[in-house]
Amino acid sequence: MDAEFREFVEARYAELLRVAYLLTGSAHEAEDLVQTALVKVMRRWRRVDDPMAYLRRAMINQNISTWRRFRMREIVTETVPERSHRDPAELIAQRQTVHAALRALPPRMRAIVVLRYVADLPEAEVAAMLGCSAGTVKALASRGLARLREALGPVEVAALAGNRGGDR
Amino acid sequence: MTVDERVGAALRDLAATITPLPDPAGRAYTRLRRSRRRRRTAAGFMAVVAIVAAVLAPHAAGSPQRWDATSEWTLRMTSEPRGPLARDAAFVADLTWQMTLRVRDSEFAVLNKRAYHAADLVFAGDVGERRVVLLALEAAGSSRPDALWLSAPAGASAAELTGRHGLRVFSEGLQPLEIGHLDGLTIAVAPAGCEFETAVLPRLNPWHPEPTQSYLVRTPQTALPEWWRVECDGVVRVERPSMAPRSFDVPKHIPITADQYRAAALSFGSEVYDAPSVVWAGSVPGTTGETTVEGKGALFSAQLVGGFWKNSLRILIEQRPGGGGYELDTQFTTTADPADPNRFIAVQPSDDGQPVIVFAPAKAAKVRAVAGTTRTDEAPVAGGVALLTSADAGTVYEALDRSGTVIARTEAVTPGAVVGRSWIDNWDGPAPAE
Repeated sequence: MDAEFREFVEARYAELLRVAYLLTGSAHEAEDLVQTALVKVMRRWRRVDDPMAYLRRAMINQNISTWRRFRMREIVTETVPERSHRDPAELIAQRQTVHAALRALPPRMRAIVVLRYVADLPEAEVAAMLGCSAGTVKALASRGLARLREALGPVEVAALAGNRGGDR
Repeated sequence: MTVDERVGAALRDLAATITPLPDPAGRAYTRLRRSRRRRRTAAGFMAVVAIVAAVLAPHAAGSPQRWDATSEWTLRMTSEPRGPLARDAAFVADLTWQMTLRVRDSEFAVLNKRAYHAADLVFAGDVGERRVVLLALEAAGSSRPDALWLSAPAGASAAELTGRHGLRVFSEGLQPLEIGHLDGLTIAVAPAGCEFETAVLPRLNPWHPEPTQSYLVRTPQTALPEWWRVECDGVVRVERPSMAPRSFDVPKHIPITADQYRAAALSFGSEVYDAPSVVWAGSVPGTTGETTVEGKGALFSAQLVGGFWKNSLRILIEQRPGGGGYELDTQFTTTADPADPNRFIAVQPSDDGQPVIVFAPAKAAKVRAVAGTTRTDEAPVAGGVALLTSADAGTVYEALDRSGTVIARTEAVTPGAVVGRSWIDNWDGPAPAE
């Protein structure tokens, strides 16, 4: 298991971490979320056919329950810490706009948006992962995108997309 | 590119800024081992979103990450509320609202003349007859919040707890091991993910995990002579005697008043096996030069872990003329039992010219101070004690019997010095890689 598991982690960790980051909104929480999921999959390594699917599901379930636990605390924070971060680069500021908009989505909707448009998973797979119908996934994905578009505005979306060379 | 594709691209761009920490598989193995060892999931849920700035900025600059003890432990202290009431959603919601109102109204600013902008709930619970809450007050421009303990009768509403009539105990700088002493209760809270273990004296083995894990509660009824240990991520960060106050019954037939005994016994806490005993009481003779230690005194002693003794020499010194006085309390540890008739203890209450008080062996008739080969002072023993002039480091004190034979030698103990089993108080540095 050791070599196989290490090889898998080396190959897929960055991808998992990016999904976790979009789910949690925090680099530190993302590391914790992925590590927690990895421990879960390690216990069942021989019996898990698709580790990536298992890990995504574990991260989403963990994140949704964790987020619920923390919602109450966020009320008392008058200033979201990232917003006080002053980075001279405009790009950083724009990324923070995306970050804030994503965090504003409900966790389930956020998970669907991330899985559909970042992990590029089909609706059926997302539905199976979250235990809901494909129609629900489609509806929530559509509403999530609409809210992101509304929050970002056409300028930010275009600018951010334009900064990724491969997407021009 | 469609708008939806652009949203996806924007999200991927955002996620691309994140960089994995080193050795993810190794860290997962470490976590699994800990998880199995402790039979629990080591889910130290870190950080609110502020960590993004700390993590992204160094990566963007290409510089290595730096482990900051203060911010790391602070994050773990405030990452999730602990205590029996922490899972009471209605109470937490109510408390959160009350905290928000009071922070908004700058009500807590009077505590430390700081403008707090947020209050995180660290602990909430009914402990004994009290409802106790620990808040971390965050001020702009400071990476370290202040600690505020609130206490009200058990069952009090959030408004009563946070109101001006509740008991408030404020301390500047939230500690990684934050301890509240309220109404006789002791509540100790460690960072989330850490675990308390305790060992009841006289043995420090085995250590027993506290069922409450990252916090510990002691009431006057449950305060024991015990040691505490805090382990975080496999590293012992604290190992020391309990900090819960412990009351002792006043022994019968003591040569001092009950109030004097209670006052002295308070300082012995839970680090000693049994109630301190009064090993000597009487008059400390005379004065030496400009200073005096003349007065009624008593020497209290109790055994510490490791075969050593904790002692407290208290002398009530009356000032003349005009009356009044003060109590001189000198605490020190010894490797020998002060109740032993052959004990020979020389203690200098302070190093600013005060005399040395000598508790001589039972057979001693006089004591003397010797510096090198020079005898610097000599005094008769009266009632088991004698007074010698202050001396330099390296001075040896000798006890002589009636025939002038030296029967014991010693050096002055250092007040405040700790001997015996070492304490651990180490919050520096991350857990080493396994």
